[in-house]
Amino acid sequence: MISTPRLTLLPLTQEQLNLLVHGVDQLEPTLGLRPSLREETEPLLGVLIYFTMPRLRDPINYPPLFNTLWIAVDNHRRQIVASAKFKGAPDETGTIEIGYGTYPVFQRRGYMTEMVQGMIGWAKTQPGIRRVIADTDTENVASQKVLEKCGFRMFDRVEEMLWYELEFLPLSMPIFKFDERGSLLSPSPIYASAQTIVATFAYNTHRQLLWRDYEKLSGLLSAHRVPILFCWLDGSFLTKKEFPNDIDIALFVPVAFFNSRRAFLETISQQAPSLDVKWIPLLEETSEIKKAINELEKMKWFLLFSSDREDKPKGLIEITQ
Amino acid sequence: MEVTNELEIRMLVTNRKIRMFKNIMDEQRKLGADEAMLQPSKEMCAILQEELQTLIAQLQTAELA
Repeated sequence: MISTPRLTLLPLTQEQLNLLVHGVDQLEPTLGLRPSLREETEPLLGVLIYFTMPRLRDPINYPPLFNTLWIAVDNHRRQIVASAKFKGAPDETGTIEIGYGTYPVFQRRGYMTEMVQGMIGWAKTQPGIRRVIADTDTENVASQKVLEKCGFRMFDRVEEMLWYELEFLPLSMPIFKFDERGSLLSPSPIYASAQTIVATFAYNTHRQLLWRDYEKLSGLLSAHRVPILFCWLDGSFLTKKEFPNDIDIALFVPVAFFNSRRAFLETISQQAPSLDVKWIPLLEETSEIKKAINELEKMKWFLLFSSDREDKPKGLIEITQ
Repeated sequence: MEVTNELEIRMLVTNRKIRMFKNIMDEQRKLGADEAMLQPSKEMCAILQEELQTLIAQLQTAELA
């Protein structure tokens, strides 16, 4: 369920969809709603019967929230005033498509914009989503306005169809892939910004709280001008585990700083208890030999972090600015 | 996987990680790295050694059971 200023957005279950396709008046009483005096029509009806309902019977391959129809209920009127749906789970580029509609009697009241904004706001919090697209007819000015008010921009036109997109994160950012155990797949460090990491891994409140400690540590490091050379993340935070215990972090600092301020560095890391911080010193690379020693140092820690306790490979991320 | 098999694999992996750490540290020493720089590695080796001892104890318990 999603709440917006005037609306409650409800994803319909298989049973509720079944009622809806037999008549909206079959569904409304079960939700305690007043009659909206309307019926779903083609092409939506066909989509619901032939695509949506079969998909809802296979929730593993077709995540219900990305496949079912959502309805918008006006909290004051207690009536269904609009509906919308995503047309499937995110594809390999992190893109989802949204479709929506309202009824003549409820048009020009901002319902559709409010509903699409609510659904987009929810989609933004889901892991792996970086872009939403929608199509609309060239003559459907009202629909185009809805998309524009929601921040979409037109990116393509195919005959009489206009395509709009709303990017949360640039498509050029890396897409994380996971193996069947839910571990990050990668043969070498993946370079990713904090923004990308948040969008991919901080997808529930528990994970957001862990990440808050990372931001706290990051702020302390900046405030105390700690010269961080590299920052690697690893451990269960980078897996699909819903409630990881902590975030494992390896911070590389110049050896002179490390030697003179080790106690201080440990004190700083204790202020972010959700993090398991490992401080790793590197030499100033003033000669080829020192470079070689540093390469060995990075290799050692990489080999340690890039496999699990059963020696199965797992990826790690190097945070970029 | 049986508990003992799983423990044996984890023991082998931990043991290999310790050896890997020690071998690379030796290489670094040969190249002139000082002990202060290698301190975090030594601490990690100690943690891994402790894990190894725990695994050995768990394996012995599992085999006796």
